[in-house]
Amino acid sequence: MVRQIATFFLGKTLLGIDILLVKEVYRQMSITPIPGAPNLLKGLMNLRGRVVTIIDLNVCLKRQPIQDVSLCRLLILKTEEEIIRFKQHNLIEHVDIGEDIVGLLIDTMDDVIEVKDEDILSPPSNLGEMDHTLIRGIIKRNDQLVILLNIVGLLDMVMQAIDVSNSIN
Amino acid sequence: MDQSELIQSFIEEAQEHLQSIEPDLLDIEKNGSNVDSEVINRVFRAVHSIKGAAGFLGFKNVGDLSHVMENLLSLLRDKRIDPTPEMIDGLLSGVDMLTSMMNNLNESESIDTTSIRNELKSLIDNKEEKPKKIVKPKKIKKPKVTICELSEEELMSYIDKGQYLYLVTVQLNSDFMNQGILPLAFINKMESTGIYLDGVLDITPISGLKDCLSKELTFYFIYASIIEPSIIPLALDLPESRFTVLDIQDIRNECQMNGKFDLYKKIPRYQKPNSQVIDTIPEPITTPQPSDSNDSNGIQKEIIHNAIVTTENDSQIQQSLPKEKNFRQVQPDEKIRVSVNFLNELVNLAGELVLGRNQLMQISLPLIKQTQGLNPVIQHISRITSEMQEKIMQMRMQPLSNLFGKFHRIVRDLAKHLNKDIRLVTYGEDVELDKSIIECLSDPMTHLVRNSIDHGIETPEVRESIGKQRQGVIEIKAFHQAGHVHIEIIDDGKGLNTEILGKKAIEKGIISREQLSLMPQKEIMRLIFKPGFSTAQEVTAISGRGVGMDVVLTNIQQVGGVVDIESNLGQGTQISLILPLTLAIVSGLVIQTSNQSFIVPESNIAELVRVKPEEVKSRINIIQNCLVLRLRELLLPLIDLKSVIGFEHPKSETILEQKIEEPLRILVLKHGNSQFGLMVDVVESIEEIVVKPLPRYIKRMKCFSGVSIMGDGTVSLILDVAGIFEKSALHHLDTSKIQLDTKAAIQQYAQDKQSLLIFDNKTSERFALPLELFARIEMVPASSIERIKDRQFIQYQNKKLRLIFLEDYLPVNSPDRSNEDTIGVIIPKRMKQPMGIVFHQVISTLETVVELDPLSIAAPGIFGSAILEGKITLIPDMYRLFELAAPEWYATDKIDCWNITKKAKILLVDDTPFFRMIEREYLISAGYDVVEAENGLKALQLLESNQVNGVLLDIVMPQMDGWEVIRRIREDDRYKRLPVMAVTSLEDESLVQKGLDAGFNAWEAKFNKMRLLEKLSTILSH
Repeated sequence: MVRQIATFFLGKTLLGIDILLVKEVYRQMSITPIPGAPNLLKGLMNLRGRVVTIIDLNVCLKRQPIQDVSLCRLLILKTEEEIIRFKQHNLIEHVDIGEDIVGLLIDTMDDVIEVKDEDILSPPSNLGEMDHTLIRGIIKRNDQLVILLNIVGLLDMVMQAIDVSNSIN
Repeated sequence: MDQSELIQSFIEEAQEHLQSIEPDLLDIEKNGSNVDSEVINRVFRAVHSIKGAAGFLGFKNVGDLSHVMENLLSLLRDKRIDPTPEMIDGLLSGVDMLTSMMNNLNESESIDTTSIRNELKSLIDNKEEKPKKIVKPKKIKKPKVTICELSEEELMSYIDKGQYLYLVTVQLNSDFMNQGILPLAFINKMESTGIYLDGVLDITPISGLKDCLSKELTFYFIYASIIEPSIIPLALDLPESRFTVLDIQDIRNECQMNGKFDLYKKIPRYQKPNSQVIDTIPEPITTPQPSDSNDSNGIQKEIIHNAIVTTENDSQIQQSLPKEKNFRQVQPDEKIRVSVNFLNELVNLAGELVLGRNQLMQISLPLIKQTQGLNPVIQHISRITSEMQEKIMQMRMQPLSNLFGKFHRIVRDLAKHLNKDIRLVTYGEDVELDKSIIECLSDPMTHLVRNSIDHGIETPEVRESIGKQRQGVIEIKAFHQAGHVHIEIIDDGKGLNTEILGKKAIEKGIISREQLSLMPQKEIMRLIFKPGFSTAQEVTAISGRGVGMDVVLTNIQQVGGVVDIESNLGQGTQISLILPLTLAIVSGLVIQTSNQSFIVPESNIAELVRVKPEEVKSRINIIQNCLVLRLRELLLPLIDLKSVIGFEHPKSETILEQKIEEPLRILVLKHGNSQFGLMVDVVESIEEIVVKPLPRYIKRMKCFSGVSIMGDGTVSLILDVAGIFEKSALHHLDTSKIQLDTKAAIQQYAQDKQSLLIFDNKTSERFALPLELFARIEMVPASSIERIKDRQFIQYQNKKLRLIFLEDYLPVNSPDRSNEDTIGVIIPKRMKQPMGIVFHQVISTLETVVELDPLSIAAPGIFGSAILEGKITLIPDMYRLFELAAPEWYATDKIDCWNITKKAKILLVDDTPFFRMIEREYLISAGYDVVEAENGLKALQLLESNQVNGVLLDIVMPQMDGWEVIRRIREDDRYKRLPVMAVTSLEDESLVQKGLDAGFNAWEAKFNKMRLLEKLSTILSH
């Protein structure tokens, strides 16, 4: 099966995510911080009357937290409701992304690329600090590598982050 | 629609039907054979449509059960049997079974319904003689027109494709000619949505040319279509009454009997043409009602009876019965079904629209003057927007009738079960509340009604004997008042007995006798809302379901409601629930801390307090690193919002240390029965806010209960008062109040009574000291006091005894003393230097569990305060008082005795929190580190994990007493030389030696601070 992958930069890393999971890309955010929350939860934002939970992808990937949000863009993911059709028609693999809207802070969007399933390689074991559960696979694209994110793993990580911080406090 | 959507709408519809059936059945039971036939019809139709849909979707079990119910109902409907309570019981249990199957439709096939079905069947069988006698088969004359016949296979082939077979009756004149519809157009329409199978034109009404235009011609045809019964009338643009669904089973039987399906048998013909009302013909198969059976519908009756008799098997009875009425009245303009998600989405969008409007208005403001016509347009949009938002909010509102309806059943069943005679009267079913609130009300109200039936209303015999009507009455009333909805549940039963309540509460350790004596009646009644309280003398099957009144209270409070209780002994009880109209919009106070806005639900706020900078010192205290606020007579724990939600780390001193220029803003918040203060930076305004649930990622954060989008489009977090309470209690309040909630604590307290002397100092303040501290109490005339410099003495046992006046060292009022007074002097046991504490009068002695509240009045020389005999009573720290009074005698005690820079750590083992607290104070004041254990087992564990330098060990303890502990300590090689001192209230001299033999290094009495510390330092330095 051929998938379309939306790619984007986070620092110098090129990351990718199935385009069917992307709702929109947003700028000009007014973020309400969540006091006491783990720092991968950057805050909340109003998107046309719905509340978006904003995630600092940098923290998830064990990097320095984003300092200046105004330079970022927000990659907003769809909700379960919006992808259920795709799931029914097997257009995307099984993901459970819940009913709450999530936005990922990124630097810039890049191209949308087409990949065949068999061209998605399993990640090498030396990806450093990056959590392996967050990586769905690696895509070779010309001279660059795209890290295809595992959204379910990412969201799980966010869910657990609260429990971890609760147990510390 | 795909299958799953179909099933979902089937479930919804069926649940709706089942809900409506119940009150109808009860109505039938109440009125017996006099019941309105429409009621029975309604039930019949509801059951029938469940059966139909279940059959279609392949839920055989549901179908079978509803089928049997339908059979019984059809007999009732046709008045061939009279309703009996057994039948209603049977039908009700059928409804219950169906309801539970609907709740879990996928599992429904595995549920065994045989017993209910057999029960219903037996009811039918027993009653069937009646119709059999009456009904005689009557031959219908064959019409003279050609018989149209269809084979079973042909018909079944449509059924198998999931199509419905309809028998359609069309009046050529009224349906087509008069409406200007050409038959051809109709046929085209028909063919586009289904298949015309066969038909027949009934020309019998026409006797000749003269009436061929005025008389109605009826065209019957069989029509197969995938379109559902509920919308087929729309599809073909014909009145609903023109359609009858043919039943598969029916067709099959028919075919088996005759080898083919005979359309004529389905057609009620030979209706004598009624010249006046042509249009009556389209009612070919209606519910026969014997009362108005006249010539014109006599034939219908015949047909029905015919059908019943021709089909011997009872399972077929109803299928031949008319189906026409089974269509639910479709009135497209009245109601549509909308999913709640969809509604919520609309609510969101409406909110956004308001936001957009506000922005638009702001931007356009400067333009209004320059642009003609802009202002009216903007005003118009603004008005529409507000109105739309309001309407959308209203869509979430539902009448209480659904909720109230189910109580009739509960009352009936329960009353029957308990042999009580109870009538339920409900008012205000049309009062509307937010859907989510109604959902939350169901359980608590059920509990309250159950309570009224079970514990409130007496048995008929008892009622009669006390001059009440045999029949008890429970009233449920709903009404609007002051922007809230009130729901009252009133019974005329025996009422609440406050005496018994109070006794129970004491027994269960919920309150103390002293607290009770001070409680107003109403407060005592409210005790039933305390966790762990049940008024039932014995747990009956009905109550005792694990839901207590405390759950009722919490549930109601959760939706922002209030529960009030009123009761007169012997006359009844009234419980009032006061509820907000909607959950989605609540009134909230916007506050700020660290420059971020938060919302506090108004229902949680008791009051707002402003503490001026100069008052801070007097109104805010620190006790054990916890802040407390003095508010009138109350001492409230004070929490800084900043630190509790995690903006900064808790530093409770800062508030008193830093220079305060701005007044402090404190919200007094209520949580359950307790209150606390919350410090915030800015209090902004009260706003109506739309509450949205927390995103799942932060759902488990304790401090927030929801989010809301503010007027400026930003997101604000709504503070969760319960969560904040819980969270800060973990951090700050663990010593503040000893929780009596848990059973363990109650048990422990039962053993931990202290004997206290309560006295006053000729002021309104009350003081208490443990009797164990005293050697004796002397009453002496004030004139015998001798003054030496600024000190006062009396002569006591030929020694001079230094007098300590409480007002000199404690933050208490000074009394007016005169020389004529008699003063009391408390003389403590075993003092090196004789000192006594002066008091005015002994108020009482009391043996009680002391709930020491160290947060109360914080001052050196005071352990804390407690409520004793219902009054705030100070408990002075006697030894500390002496220290304050005569520092010179104690100066040496500030330890140098431990000549190591590191503090010595002492393990303090005592089961009584009160003693632990006192001893801990002694030790800390002497500069030791203290770890505490409440029993021997815990002590041994702590020994493992802590490097301790010495142990203070109580002897009498639960779980493992001191003797056992010392034995084990000495058994262990590691602790052979560990200094252990027994600290006990056992004063038997012979025990001292026994103790030393057992391995204690020293033996000392509780409370004697000096000697305790001395001995401790001695054994530590060895």
